[in-house]
Amino acid sequence: MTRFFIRLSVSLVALALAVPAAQAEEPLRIGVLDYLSTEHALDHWRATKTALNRALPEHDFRIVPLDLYGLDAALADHALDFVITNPGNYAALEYSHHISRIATAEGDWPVASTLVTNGDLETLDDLAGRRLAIVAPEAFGGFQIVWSDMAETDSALARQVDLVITGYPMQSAAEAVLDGRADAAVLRACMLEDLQRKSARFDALHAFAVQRDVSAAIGCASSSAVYPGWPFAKAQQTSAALAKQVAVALMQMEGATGWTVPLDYQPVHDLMRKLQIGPYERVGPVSLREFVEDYWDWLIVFVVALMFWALYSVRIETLVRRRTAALKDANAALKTEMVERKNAEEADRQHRRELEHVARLSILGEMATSIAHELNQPLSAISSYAQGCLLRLKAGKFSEKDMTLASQEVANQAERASTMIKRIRAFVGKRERQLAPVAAGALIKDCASIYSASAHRAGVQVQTQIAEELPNLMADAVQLQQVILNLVQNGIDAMEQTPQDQRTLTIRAEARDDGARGKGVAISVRDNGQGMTAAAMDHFAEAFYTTKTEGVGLGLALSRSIIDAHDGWMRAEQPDDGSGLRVVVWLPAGECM
Amino acid sequence: MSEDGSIHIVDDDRAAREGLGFLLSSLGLEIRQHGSALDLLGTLGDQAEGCILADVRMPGMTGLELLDELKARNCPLPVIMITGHGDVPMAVRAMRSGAIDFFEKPVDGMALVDRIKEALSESRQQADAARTAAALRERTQSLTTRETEIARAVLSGRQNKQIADALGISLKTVEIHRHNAMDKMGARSAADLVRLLVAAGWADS
Repeated sequence: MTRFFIRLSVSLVALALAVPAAQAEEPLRIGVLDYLSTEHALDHWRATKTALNRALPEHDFRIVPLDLYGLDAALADHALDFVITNPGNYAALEYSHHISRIATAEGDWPVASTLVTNGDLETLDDLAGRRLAIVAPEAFGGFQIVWSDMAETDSALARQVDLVITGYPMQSAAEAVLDGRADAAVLRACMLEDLQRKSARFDALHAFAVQRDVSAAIGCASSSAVYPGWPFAKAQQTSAALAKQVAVALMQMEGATGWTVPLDYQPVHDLMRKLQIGPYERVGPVSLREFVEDYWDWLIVFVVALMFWALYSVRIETLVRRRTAALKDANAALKTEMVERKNAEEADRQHRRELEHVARLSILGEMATSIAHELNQPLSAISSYAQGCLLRLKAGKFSEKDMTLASQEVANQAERASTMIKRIRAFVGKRERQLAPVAAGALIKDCASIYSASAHRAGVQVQTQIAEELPNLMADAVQLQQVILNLVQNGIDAMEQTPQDQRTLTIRAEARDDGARGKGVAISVRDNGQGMTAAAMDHFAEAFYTTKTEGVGLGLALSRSIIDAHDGWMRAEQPDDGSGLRVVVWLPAGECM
Repeated sequence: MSEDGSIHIVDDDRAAREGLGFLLSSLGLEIRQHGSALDLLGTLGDQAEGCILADVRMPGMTGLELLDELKARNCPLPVIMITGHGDVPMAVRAMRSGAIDFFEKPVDGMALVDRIKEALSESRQQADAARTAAALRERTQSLTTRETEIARAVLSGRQNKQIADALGISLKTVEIHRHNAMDKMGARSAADLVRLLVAAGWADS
């Protein structure tokens, strides 16, 4: 719609201008960018029009002030022969309508931007988070130059600046700062000085982010580099001959504002490419080619980094692989070694278990007759009670009291026999060492049920002296029992020749600290037997050394190995008071559980 | 002669001992229990009738040692040995030492009861015989020297005439003394006198 009206208005203007042109020939239309007002535009370019008309009297040059859209539309309609516009717009039109510059304005205000403020801003960076007044986003000197500089300083900066768009004239931007609607404003270079000359109220403003060398060159404070001035360009359909004549005329023009040879507009193109505006606006997806062109330097850095990374990865990978292989080898060797050791340990343990089992069987064998007798007692009692009941029943004379007594006793004796069998079975069974807190006193009392028969038979009095409050032992109860029973049986055997009234065996348990090994319990078994000869003492607890006619000499050796496994010690002593032998077993107190 | 016919049980194991006691008390006999051999010997005294049941394996004095001791003391009570684990040599030794029988635990109640009944009856007969002999011996004490001489001669089978010749006394005197001796001994005939004298234990002397 808008575009339609613009075209309509251009047509109307063209129609209106067509009337005087009828006198000579077709008038030549020079479209100029009108950024302030029609009067200003006409006034500003009158000198050029006059000069051209004078130099080429056969032509009728007309100034047609148009805004950005007007210029675009008129060129599209081929309604213009020449164009005078700002460098940014020229770059855009050069691309879209193939206009080409034939001269560049000189002596006019330089194309550069000045940042002004009444506050304490000093650099471009200070604009972050501030309000910046600009005349229009399309303005080249009024915005795009500064925008480009901001993007160059910090890509994020442009987004952080709050733009206040005031519209033309450009002095409105300066006024926005004075009114407090903005913290800073963008003006064309030299405009600040111009405004300050006209009105004192602009004295409150000052330029910032000033580039000193540029300012020195142009004589005004400037915050940016200087870009080529406004170009005079010919439209695509304008003949080269006419363009040449016009160019010559322009070069020969005299006055404050004149024309010179067309300058290089590459900086303008660079700027627009950087901002991706005008001809460089991206409408579709970015092509790979564009991307590569835009970022080739970054791409090289990226590719080099990628290569380094790849090389590094390969190197690390190789190292890791090499070390992993070494580790794997070491692991395999370790594993094999562990398996071997485990097997050896298992075999050793198995062997020891067998040996201990044999030893227990042998102790039991030594005591077997006694144990059989002991087991026979409850069985015998049970049998007697049962037969007594039968006899009473047969005779028909039984009392409830009798029957109760008999039944009770039968039950008691059966229990007694079963307890004994359980103890023996527990003692004989093959088993792994199981450590648990053990009370030495209770353990010795438990042993009594097994050794008492044997002691009884041999006429040996067994005395136990168990100290109160003994620390618990961390031990395998059955193995400790085995040791104690072994010692007791040895003691009993040693007293075969001892007179009846002296056959006393003393089992004593007391707390004793062993200097090097800390707290513990000493269990001693003392007999009044024949004692040990010095030679036998030397072989104490050696495997297969025995003084007994029926022994194999394993009992004490196994006892010692059991005690060693419990971190204790075992030794034989000659008692100071009289005959016999005392065997002392020391075991460390168990940790509190 | 106190506690005639009681049964003594000697066993150090309380349960075994009391069980036997329970079994035997069904016979209606008096049971005496002892925890050890010494215990029995201490209370036995001069009891002449009854029976002893003793365990072989006991602390202190064993059953076999007890047998020897009883023999040494001339104890007339029959002894039955009981053992938990018997073997032939032990049984032989026990029988040789005077035990009348040998039982293995657990005992066969009926057999034991029968054996005890037998033993008790033997014991009673023995005791009766012993009592008779003692009474007769008492009577022989009342004989005068001459009556004793003549009674011995009768026991050895001599005729009155031979006795008179041997002693240098008249036949009549021999007849009077013999008559007196027979009166004192309560014999109805010469043969009866001989039997009584034998019973009084004169046969061996």
